[in-house]
Amino acid sequence: MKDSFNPSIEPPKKTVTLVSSDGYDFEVEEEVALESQVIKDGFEDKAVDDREYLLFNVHSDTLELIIKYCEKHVSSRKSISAAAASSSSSNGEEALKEWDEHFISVDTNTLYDILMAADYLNIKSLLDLAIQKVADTIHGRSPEQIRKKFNIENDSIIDPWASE
Amino acid sequence: MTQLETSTRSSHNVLHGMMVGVFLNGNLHWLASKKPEVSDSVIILAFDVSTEEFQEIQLPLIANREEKVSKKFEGCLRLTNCDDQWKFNEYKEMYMMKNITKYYKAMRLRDEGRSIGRQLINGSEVEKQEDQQQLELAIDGNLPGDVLLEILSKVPLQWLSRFRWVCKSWCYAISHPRFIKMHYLNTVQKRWPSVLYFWYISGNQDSYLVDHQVFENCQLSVTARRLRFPGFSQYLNKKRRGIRYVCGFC
Repeated sequence: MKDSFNPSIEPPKKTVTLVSSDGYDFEVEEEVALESQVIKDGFEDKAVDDREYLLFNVHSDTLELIIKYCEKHVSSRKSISAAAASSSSSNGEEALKEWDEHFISVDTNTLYDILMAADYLNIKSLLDLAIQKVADTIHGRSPEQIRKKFNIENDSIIDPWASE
Repeated sequence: MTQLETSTRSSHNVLHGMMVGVFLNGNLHWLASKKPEVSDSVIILAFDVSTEEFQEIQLPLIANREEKVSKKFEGCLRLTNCDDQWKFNEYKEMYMMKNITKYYKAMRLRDEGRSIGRQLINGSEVEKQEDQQQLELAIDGNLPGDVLLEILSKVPLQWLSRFRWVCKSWCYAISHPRFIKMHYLNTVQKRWPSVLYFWYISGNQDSYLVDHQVFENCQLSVTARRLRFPGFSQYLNKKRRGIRYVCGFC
């Protein structure tokens, strides 16, 4: 049981290069990059020395956050399964949820960037997190506020909230 | 796929990191530029799956290449960030189908098949894929349609009902049976095990509660009992009497 997580027998870390839209290279561990479903698909088909991904839609600021998120999730998953293997009690999942909550508490523009990047890279858990956050932020807004937020033109025949 | 990509790259640079080609009419499509790279020589590279031959399709003279990507969209290839939609004419040239203003879709590597909405639903996939595209089209604004739908499907009913007034397309989307189903599934999964659904008839100050069992088949015609929601029905549009709005779950 204990052998399920033993760093000493792991093969040497392989890395993948992610290139942001503004041309910065980010070298990340393979398993971190594989959090993205888009990178995962067809990953095996790519030659090992050609594992470089140009992310034309992701700015370096956003990519840094995304990588931070993926690294955290990969390491948390490991420590959770390690704790489960040694049957020691762990509140790893709760801690991760708290971390997520803190991570996604950003301003609207950053949230939008994260949302678009998570959608683009197809990172399901991050996309869900960002979508839930946006859904939370539009609670209780009036249609006018929503239009402003989402940049929508008012074409409604009737707007009962207009007078507010 | 590997061979395909290799041969593609031997004579062309595939643009925009499009690892997955867009499949339409038996052809896979990429945006590409010829090697050696010359500016403004962007073409659409089409690979016929049956004959395994490549064809080059000239792009219409439009925006610069940074702003476009081929995208399957309602049976046409779509160039993102141009407001125009183009359709093939026997793979010789493209001509403009129609102008769609204000529909921007983020460039994405995945194809339509993986859009979030469809993961929730099983059965008659093809029909629903078309349905999903139509539903996405209904959503305006800068966010990709499926992402926005997903956001809306996580908004509790009490707020969702007033979002119908944001614009026509939102109203249409929120009333769409497919959206209702998404919202329903989210609600069932995350909030309440036993949910009720209600809708109301415009012009008639009554709301109807419908048992959620009915909506598992997405049938909208059965009412369970009448309810009144004070302060809610005053927003009904009396000119459109008799039109039913489905509001969501509570």
